[in-house]
Amino acid sequence: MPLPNATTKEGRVYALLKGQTLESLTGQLAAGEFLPEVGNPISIEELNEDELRRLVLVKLAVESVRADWVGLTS
Amino acid sequence: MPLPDAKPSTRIYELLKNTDLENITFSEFQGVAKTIFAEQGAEDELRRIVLLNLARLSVVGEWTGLTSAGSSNEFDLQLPGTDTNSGNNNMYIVSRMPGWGVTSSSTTSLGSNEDPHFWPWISPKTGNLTILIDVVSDGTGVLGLAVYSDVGGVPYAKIGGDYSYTFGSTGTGLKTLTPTADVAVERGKQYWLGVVETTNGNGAIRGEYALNSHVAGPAFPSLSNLQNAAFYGVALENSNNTLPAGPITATDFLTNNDGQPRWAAQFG
Repeated sequence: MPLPNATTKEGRVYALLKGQTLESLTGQLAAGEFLPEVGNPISIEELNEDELRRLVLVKLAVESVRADWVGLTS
Repeated sequence: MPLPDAKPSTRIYELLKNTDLENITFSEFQGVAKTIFAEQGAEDELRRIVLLNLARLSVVGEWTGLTSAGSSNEFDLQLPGTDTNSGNNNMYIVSRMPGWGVTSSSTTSLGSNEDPHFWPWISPKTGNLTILIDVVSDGTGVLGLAVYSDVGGVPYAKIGGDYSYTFGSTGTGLKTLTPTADVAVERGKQYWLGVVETTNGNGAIRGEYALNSHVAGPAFPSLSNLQNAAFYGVALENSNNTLPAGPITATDFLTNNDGQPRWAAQFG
C-alpha cells in the first residue's frame, strides 16, 4: 500500500533501494554515500512530490534505527 | 484508526504487543525495526517505524535539542577547521588533534601488519580527503590505507577508494596519498583509519607512541588489573593483506595495541 494518495508506480527511491534493509543503510548516510545519492538528482517539482515523501520517510526510518535520538531531548 | 490507506501491521505492532510506550527501550525498538527493507512493499511498516519512534521520544521529555544549536553546554570546543596564512596552512595533523589524537610530539616507528588495524578520528573539515604519511624506513612492501564509517563506535564500511604507498619507491619523508576514488568526509563526524600491509615487506612509517594513545576499544574482563590499557583501536585477523569493503561484523574485531600512524589530512 503506497503513501496516502500517492501513485503506485515504483519510482526512483524504492527502485534504487531494493534489497537494502534499514540497518544496512545506517552506514551509508554521509554526503556522497548511497542514501544521499538516492535523492540526487530529484528535481523539486510537484510531479516529484511522491518521491520527496518517500525519500523523507526512508531517511527518518533509517535514522530511527541508526541510534537513539538522545540529542533531541537533551 | 490506522494510518491512512495502510494495511494491518504484520510486524511492528505484532512484535511489540503488550509493550508500553514509556517502557520500550531503544534497543528493543531497534531490534524490531532494523531488518525492515527500505522498499515499497514495506512502506506501511516504514511509516509505523517513524511514528513509533516519534511517539517513543514524545514521552521521554521535552525536545529541547530540536530548537537549540549544538550542545546545550556552555563549553563548545571546536576543532581547527579553517585554513589560515592566506590558505597556505591547510594541512591538519589529525593524529595530534582532539578527540583521538595524542598530546605528545614524540613519535615511534610503525611497521606494517598483514592484519588490518583501525583507529578512530574526527574530521576537522568537510571535503574530499587526501592523506599524508611520513615514511621513516623506505624498505619493501606496499601499505594500504582506507577510511571507514563509524557505527556504534567501531568501523563499519569503507568510504570511497583506497590509498596506497609502495615502499622503496621515493625515499623517506612526507608522502601525499590520493585515493583511487573520492573519499568524502564531514566536519565533526567520527571515522576510522584502516591500515594494512597489502604486500608484505619491512617498510615503516612514523607512528604515535602507543603509551600516549587513548583507549578506543573495549578490554577483555580477564585482566588482573587495569595497568594494561593497550586497546587503542580494533583489528581484524580474518582479512589478511586486505582492507574489506564492509559492512564489517562488529564481533569480528579484535584488539589493536599499536599507536596510530602520525598522519595528516588535506581537503579538496
